[in-house]
Amino acid sequence: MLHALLIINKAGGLIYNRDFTDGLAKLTSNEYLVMAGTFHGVHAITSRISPVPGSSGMELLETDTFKIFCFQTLTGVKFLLITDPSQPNADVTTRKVYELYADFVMKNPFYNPEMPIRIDLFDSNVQKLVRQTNAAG
Amino acid sequence: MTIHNLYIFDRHCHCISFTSWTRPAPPKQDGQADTAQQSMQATGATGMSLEEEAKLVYGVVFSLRNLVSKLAAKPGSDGFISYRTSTYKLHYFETPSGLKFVMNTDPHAESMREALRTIYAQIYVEYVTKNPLMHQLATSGVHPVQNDLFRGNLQRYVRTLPGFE
Repeated sequence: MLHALLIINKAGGLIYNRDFTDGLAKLTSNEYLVMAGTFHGVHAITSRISPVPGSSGMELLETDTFKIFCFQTLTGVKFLLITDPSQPNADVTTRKVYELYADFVMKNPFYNPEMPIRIDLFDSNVQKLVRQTNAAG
Repeated sequence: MTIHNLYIFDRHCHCISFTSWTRPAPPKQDGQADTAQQSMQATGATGMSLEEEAKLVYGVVFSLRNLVSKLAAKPGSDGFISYRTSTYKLHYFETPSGLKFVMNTDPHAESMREALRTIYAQIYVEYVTKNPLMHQLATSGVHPVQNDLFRGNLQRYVRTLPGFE
């Protein structure tokens, strides 16, 4: 079960967020912005405190009520997928969201890079992907 | 499978114990790998000073704990359990008294929650909390655990864990 999707730009700003279920606490948009900024900072530190050199940032965060999959692209954009603890390989889904992002956001001539994403076509395709995944799980 | 290290933080965010089992560049070890943990001036697991590193580790787990408790729909749950990156996995356990246990292992390790609970209940409580000298030390501010019984038993226990090699 996928609960929510967040996209964070390379500066730590939240550019997209959607809740798909009621599985998480309802946060205000300000709280989401703070959360994205916090995650961005923590993500950077986690690669520095590694006992083994050359670590990436956080990839999967586990709690008793949900999991957060984080996929960072080479350009620094982070896709955060909040799922049920039992959700298997959601990292595949983050790659699919990245594809949708490339197709419907980056190829949209009216989109300003680093700015919040308000694109209906992207929205509806994300919804479709989530419905498929949630129906399969 | 590898267990890298263990940090223990008290509720005043001080790192009171650091133990490393794998050091990337061991300085000069005089035959005794077991006494790798030295005073608080020692270097941490990443090569930066332990004090700096402990602050970063504490900052990470503290932020994540808050973030998770904010997102969780039902309050009062255990919250943050672990996270992993491409090279390590950090396991977290917090006692009701605010003591925090943080263990780093390789990314494919199983959950260490029970192991950390055992370290707390059967080693920390037995050899640190029940130590009659503990109270005096605690009132004098920061008190790194320099208790040989604690260290010895910690070493013995961690070496029996399934993930240890």
